[in-house]
Amino acid sequence: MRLTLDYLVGSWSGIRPAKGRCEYTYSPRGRQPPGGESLITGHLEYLLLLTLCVIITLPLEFLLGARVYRRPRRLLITLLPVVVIFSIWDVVGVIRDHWRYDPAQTTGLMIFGVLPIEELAFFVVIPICGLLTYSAVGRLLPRRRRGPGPDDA
Amino acid sequence: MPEYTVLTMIGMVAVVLAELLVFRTGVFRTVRYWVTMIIVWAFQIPVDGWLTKLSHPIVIYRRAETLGLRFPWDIPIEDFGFGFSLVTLTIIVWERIDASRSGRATTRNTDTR
Repeated sequence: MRLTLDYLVGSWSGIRPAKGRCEYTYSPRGRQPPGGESLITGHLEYLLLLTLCVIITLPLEFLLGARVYRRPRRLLITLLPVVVIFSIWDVVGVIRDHWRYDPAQTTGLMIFGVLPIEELAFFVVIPICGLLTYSAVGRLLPRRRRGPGPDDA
Repeated sequence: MPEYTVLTMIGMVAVVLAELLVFRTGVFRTVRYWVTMIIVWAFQIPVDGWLTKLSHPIVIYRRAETLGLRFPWDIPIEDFGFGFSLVTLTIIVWERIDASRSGRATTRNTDTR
C-alpha cells in the first residue's frame, strides 16, 4: 500500500515520483505557510474548479434539452480519442517543461507518474461542457428544415 | 518561436485538416458550431483564468515556451488555441459518430443497436 502510494504520488522536482516520500511532505519549497494550507480548498482547488464546471453546465442537459449524458455510449466513444490525444499533449508539455502544476492546489495523484488526475478529469469535463453547449445551441437555434429533421442534430 | 506556441498551431491546423479531410462533418459551415465556440471561449476566460492567474496559479507556464501574451486576465493566448482544438475535435468526433450511425456517411456501421 505504501509502495503504491509512493508510486502514485508525484514529486514536484521532477518527472519521476520521489521515493520514500508521503503525499503530505512534498509541498513546494516556500509556497505554503508552514503547518497550513494556503487556500481554503487546498489540494482540491483544481478538482473543485472542474466540479463547478460540471454543476454549472448540468442545466443544459436537464433544462435546455441538450442530450449528451443521455447518450452515454456515444459520449464515451467520443471522449476516448480526445482524452488520449490531449493527455499525450499534456505529458509532452510537462516533459518539455512548458507547464507544471502547483502541488499545493492539486491532489498529487498522477497517472503513469506524469499526468495529474486533474488533467485527465479536465479532458473529460471540458469536452462534455463543449458538447452540452453544442447540443443546447442546436436545440435553441432556429432550425432550417431539410427533410426529416434529426431529433437533436 | 516558443514550443507551446508551435504545438498549439500544429494542434489547430491538425484539427481543421482532420475535419476537412477525414471527418467532413461540415460543422465549420454551421452557425451552431460558431455560436458554440463563442460561448466556449467566453466561459474559458473565468475557468482558464482561474487556472493561470499569476497571483496564485494552478497551472504554471514557463515563460520561454509561450509568446508571453497573457490576455484576458493572465491567460496565455495559446490556451485559446488549445481550447479550440480540444472542443472542436470533440464536436467533430461526436458528429461523425452520429453520421456513421444514421448511415449518412460512407462508413462501416459498427453499432448494431
